[in-house]
Amino acid sequence: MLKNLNGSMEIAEQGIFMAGGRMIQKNDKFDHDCIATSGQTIRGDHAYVFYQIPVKHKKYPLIFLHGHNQSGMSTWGMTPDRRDGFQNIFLKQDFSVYLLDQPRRGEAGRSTESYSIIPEPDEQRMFNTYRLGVWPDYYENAQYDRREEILDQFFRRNTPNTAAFDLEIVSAGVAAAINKVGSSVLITHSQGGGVGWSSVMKTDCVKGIISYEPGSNFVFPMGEAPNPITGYNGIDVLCPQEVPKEDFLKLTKMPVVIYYGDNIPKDPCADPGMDHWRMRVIMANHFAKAVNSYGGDAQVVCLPDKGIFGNGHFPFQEKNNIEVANEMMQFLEEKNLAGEAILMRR
Amino acid sequence: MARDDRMQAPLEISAQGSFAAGGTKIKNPGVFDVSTMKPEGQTLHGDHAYAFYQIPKDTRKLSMVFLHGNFQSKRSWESTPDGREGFQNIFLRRRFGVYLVDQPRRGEAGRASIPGEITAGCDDQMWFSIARIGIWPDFFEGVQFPRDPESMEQFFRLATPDTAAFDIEIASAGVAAVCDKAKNCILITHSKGGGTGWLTAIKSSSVKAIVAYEPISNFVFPEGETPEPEASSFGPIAASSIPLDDFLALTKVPIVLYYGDNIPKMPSQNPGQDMMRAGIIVAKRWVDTVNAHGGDATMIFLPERGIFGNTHSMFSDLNNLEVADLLSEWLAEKGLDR
Repeated sequence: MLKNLNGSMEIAEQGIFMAGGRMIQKNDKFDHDCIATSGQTIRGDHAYVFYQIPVKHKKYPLIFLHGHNQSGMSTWGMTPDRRDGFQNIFLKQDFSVYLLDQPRRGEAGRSTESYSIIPEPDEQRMFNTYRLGVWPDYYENAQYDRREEILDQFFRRNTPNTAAFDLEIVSAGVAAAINKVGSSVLITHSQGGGVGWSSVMKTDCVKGIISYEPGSNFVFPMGEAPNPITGYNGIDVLCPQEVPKEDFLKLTKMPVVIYYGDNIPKDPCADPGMDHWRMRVIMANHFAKAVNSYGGDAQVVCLPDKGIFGNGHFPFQEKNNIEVANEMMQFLEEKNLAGEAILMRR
Repeated sequence: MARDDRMQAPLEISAQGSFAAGGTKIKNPGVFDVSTMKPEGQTLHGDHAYAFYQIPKDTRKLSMVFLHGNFQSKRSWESTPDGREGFQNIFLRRRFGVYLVDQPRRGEAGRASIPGEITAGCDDQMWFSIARIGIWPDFFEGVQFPRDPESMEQFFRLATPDTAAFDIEIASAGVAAVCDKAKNCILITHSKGGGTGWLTAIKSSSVKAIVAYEPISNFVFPEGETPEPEASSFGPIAASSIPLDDFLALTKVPIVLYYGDNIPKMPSQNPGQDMMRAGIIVAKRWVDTVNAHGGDATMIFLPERGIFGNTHSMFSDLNNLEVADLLSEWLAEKGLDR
């Protein structure tokens, strides 16, 4: 069970670092007398990490990765209705917490490639795809605070890519961050799920993976991917990714849990937001089966099956996020990922 | 990562979190159709500021709101390129509530209401010059910046672009909204954030003092008192005019401006140094104007206090504890640390 939920936090150390990234250099000599780009370099495409280490801490730090159009803090920090998010909740359980902004997002906005950002009003689509409800109505059981200013805060958490999303570049940055942290548990959300599988294949440090509502880039060994899944409307198609088998096998070396929330139908459904996630749950089950067929330990948990109802796409920040955190804590304990650190003399 | 091995007491944080403040909302014409999810009738919230805050146990009355400069973000105030504590931790330890801002269209506040063009230009060496670490590839003698390659790497990677064009009205409106949420606060700015800071303080009566590290641009003068642009090898440093009534808000709160080392007295061909020299000429005129209207503005040049080698980002320099002490003294003198 979770403890100390209302207490303060004793932080032994907190700070930031950038990890991974690329550097590009123009060939000519740099002349300091003019502000020309000749001879200069640009560094970019790194990940950004904000970390907090509590005084007494568990053996494995938790590394948190956001999804599409989000950041470390927007996803795992304080909730839109100003309660503790997973950052604080797990700090209070004595875990060291590392919040990442993947390359080309948020605090890691510097890229070595130019880009045009075209903002498009798309919040009603988000409302549906994130399963708050069918705009403008919330699902009856939706775990959302209905006040308008809370929805306003929720929408303002969006922050765009500052260069094109590139799975290789993004996962390389995330893997570099994980390597700096060392042995750890990786927690991902949504598009970060796919980034997570790719990152884990690039490092040996990940001891467990917790993935909330992964929606893309599910990986399978070469030649073993299932067929793409087509949505109710015939437009939405979810394709699996094939990777070399030896890379895939890395995902069989640690416990993996994938969580989905509520209001995801079993059968094809005209509501595009709901149907989108029906397809993802099917693919996630194929993925878990593939991992387990090679001796891995992967499971897909639909929260309603555990008696937790009404969750949308952001279970860790919705009204019942303590309950959702409790579920994650039980997984960590069951899989021996919540042990105490051996006390070290500094 | 670099670790500071000194034994430090833990930080006791009674609350921490983040929020968006200010901003705009736009709406496409038409009616949203859930079956097609087309753009018609959809909305976009953007141009807000973002703040991450931490409140220590036994916090002081005024909190500190930190605003970054050009191409920077809240990371300016977090741990330093060589992994030591920055002003965030240092002032948490001194029992101030700390709010770290990303201004609208930067960092975590990247969602803008207008399109943005990001050009990935090669300019690391320009930032080395503007930061007054040295004249590339040489470090200034005695400069308070670490010489190891990893620190340099971390420094360069602190840069982050605007996600849409900088607009000082939008930026200052967002930061003012953060100050209003922080309630009574000391606004601490860096570089280009200085100019945004003056307008922020005019927009928000929550700002009870302003501390500006190396401001050189966007000084605001009452109409009719604005000086001509000051030429420099970086380009002209211009000031702007505002109504006297607005300007007078800046005479109601104590203000201090800090400048570091290696700023030449005579024109220099090194643009990073010369923009500072020219900016200081405008800054002096501005401080005189504030004080002539009954204000309380002070300029402090660190070398004149016997503190040498500081760069443009003195709050993360090797001697940043000394730089913090100087600020603590000023706060005590003005009764801002109760």
